[in-house]
Formats: sequence, C-alpha cells, structure tokens
Amino acid sequence: MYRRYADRQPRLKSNFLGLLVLVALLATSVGTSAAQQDSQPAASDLHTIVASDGVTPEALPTSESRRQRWGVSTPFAGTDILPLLPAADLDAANEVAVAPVLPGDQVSPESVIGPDGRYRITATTSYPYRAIAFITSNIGSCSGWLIGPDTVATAGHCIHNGNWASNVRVYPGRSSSSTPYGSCGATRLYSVTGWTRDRNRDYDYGAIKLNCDVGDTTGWFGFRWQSSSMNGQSTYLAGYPGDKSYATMWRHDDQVRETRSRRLYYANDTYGGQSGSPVWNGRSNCSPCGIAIHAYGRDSTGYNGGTRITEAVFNNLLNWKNAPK
Amino acid sequence: MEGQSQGDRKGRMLLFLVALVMFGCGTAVNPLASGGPDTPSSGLPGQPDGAPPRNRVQGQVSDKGGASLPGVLVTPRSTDAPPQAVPEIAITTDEDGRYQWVLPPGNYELTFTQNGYAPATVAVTVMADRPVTVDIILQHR
Repeated sequence: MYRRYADRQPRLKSNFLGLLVLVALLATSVGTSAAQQDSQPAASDLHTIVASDGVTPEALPTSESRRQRWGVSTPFAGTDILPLLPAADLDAANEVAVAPVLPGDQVSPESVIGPDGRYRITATTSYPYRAIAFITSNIGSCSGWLIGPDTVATAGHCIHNGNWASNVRVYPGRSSSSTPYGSCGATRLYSVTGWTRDRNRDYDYGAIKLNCDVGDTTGWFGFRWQSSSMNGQSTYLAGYPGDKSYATMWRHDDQVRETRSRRLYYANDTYGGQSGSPVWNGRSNCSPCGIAIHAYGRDSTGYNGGTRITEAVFNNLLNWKNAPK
Repeated sequence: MEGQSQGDRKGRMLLFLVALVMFGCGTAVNPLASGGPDTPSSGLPGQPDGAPPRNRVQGQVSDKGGASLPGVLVTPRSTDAPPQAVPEIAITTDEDGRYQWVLPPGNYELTFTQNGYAPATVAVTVMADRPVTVDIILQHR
C-alpha cells in the first residue's frame, strides 16, 4: 500500500501542477477580458445626449429588463393644409437656387453603385415626401426627415462637424425653388457624445428641434428598431443629392445588404447632400417607417451605409421628438 | 514504471489540452469580441472603426480672371483600398469661393463642378497633423 501511495505521489504532483496552470490561464483570460472592457466605454455612454444649448432631456429607460426585441414610433400623414407663412419665411420660400445645376451624367460618384437608379420625386407635397426636408447650414447641405411636429432626424455630421452648425434652415418637401411649406429655423440641435466627442461613425446621428410645428401639416415618419438581422428588407431612400438640380428630391429603392450592430448597408444610389435621408420601409403597424439614417457613401463593404436605428438610437429619437422646444 | 510515467505524461498532456480549450472558450465568450463598435450581427469578429482622427481640406476656387467662384460643388472620393467612407454632405463654395471639408486621413480625389466650367479633379492626401489647402482655377467650357 505504502509503495503504491509513494508511486502515486509524482502523478498527484503533476496533476496539481496542471491544475495550477489551468487556474493561471483562466485568470489570465478573465483579466484580459476585464482590461478590454475597461479600455472601451460602454455603448450606452456613447449614446449620451448632447445639445447645442446644453439643455438635454432626461434619458428614457431601456427595455433591457423587459427583454424587448423591437420598438415602434408610429407615423402621421399630416393635415396637408398649406400653412400661412410668416413674413420672414416668405423670403425663404422665394429663395432662388444659387448652387450649380449639374447634369447627372457629368459625374461618376463612388456612391452611385452601377447604373444610376435614382428617380426624381416631383410630387413633394404628397406624403411621405413632404416629411422629407432639405437642410442648409454653414456646414453644407443635407437631408432630414420629420419624426414629430417639430423634430427632424438627420446625420450627426450635418449638424456637428467639430462645432455645432449655424444658420440651420429646414425646408420640408422642397422641390427646386418651390418651398410649399416654407422653412423653419432651429431652436436646438441634438446629437450624442459618440459623435460630437468621439467622431465615431457608429453614432453619427442627431436631430434638429424646429422653431415651428410644420410636422402637423406635413406629417412625419414612424421609426422602429429590431435586434435581429434586417438583411433582405426593403430600403427606400429619398433625399437631396448635390449632383442633381439644386434642392430637388431623388429616390432609389433597394434592400438591406448587410446588417451590422450599429449600421445598415444597402445599394441605394446616393450622393453628397443625401446624408440624413430616411432609409425606410413599411410594416403593418408602421408605414412609412424609418430603419436607418443615411450617412456615408460606399466603404470597404462595397455598399452605402447609414446609422441603424437600434434601441438606443430609437430611445434618443423618441426623447428628442417629445422634448419641448 | 515506464507504463506509469507514460500515464503521467498522458495525464499532463490531457490537463494541458483541457487548459488550452478552456482558455480558448474564455476568449470566445469575451463580450467585446462581438460587442465592439460595428461588428457583424452574425457575431463574427469585425474591425472596430473607433474614432479616427480627421483634418481639414480647404481652399478657394476662382476663374481664370481671378474672380471668386461661389456655388462650386466640391466632392471628395476616397482612392484608398479599401476606400474611406465619405460623409454625404453637399459642400459648395461660399460667396468668396472658399470651401472646407473635414475628412479622415487618407488619399482622395477632390472634384470641383460648376455649370459653365470644365470640372477639375485633384488628388489630395489628408494628413492627421495638419490641414491641407487646395486652391483651384476653373476654366470656362
């Protein structure tokens, strides 16, 4: 017996050593994870709201505890009774185009994928086109879409490019020099720290709080989020590309080609000026329903892309929609 | 004895393999491996985009006579492989013919277009540490 026990001792020692190695390796693995977690801010931090005047609404609670997998903000078609424009806006309504009018075949932009499939929307007073807006500011021109009576969703880089944009002007349903709903200024600009502080294009979104309630007339888009892949879902995209006649609305239809955690990719043809455009489709309880905010031309994926409306983006959009002027 | 030492070696080898497998599992379930910035929904590890440095490309556009040209559309296109994603803003020159783009470092072609003028395209390298100035003279068609 004694000999057997003595024979076993080396084996026990080696097993003990093996266990020590195992524990050490596991500790290293856990330590590495913890270090990596510490080195990156939590995603929720990057969705922290910032406002041009420092007035930020309280954050809405997330559905984490409810294990929700989707969420919807419902659209509204508007009254379409043309507003009586205040005197200041009459000038804006009669504004003459100053930017170039370029034939579409003059350029071969990176973000037109294959033949240019865009078609012009001339009936910009019909819904939902009247809820899509041409936006001008000191940064440049962009597109946006109404998500409430006085709130326009757009790309973060359209309203914050190191500094907040100034001279922001929003023209819903504009078609060339025709501005059927006049124009509105901004009382406040919203974005998130992931964009304004970190310039991270996963967080490239924001909103303009208007000094008018034009959305009651034009209506607004719904928007929704879902956690599962959106590959194959339709993507309708309309906005104001800079390579076409000034301030004219163009649309192209495709589908989600690639779903990322914070971005959607699609082959809708776009051009500079279409940042902030709605990327939408329809569901029984939400049509038209925004699923992304267009932001970038083609990247390494080979597709154009936009900021996906995730739960965190949805909550912020809803928060901005419900915030007072 | 030889059989026993072989058994010990096998035992050690087995423990080592178990340790390796567990270490591998520990890495695979690291939430950051699938939860970092913009990873594919499939859970495949993706390249984080992070917060790239950016810098200005600025300049002035004029005609052959030296007059400033307002309203010239200035469009960057990435010539890197793979291409940089370019924000889809429409930037035109102001009343003094000046423009400014803010872009991540890399190689681009800037195209200047205005009705009545021949388009011009210029290669530009945007650097992280200093802004680049590109002044252009457009020729009448």
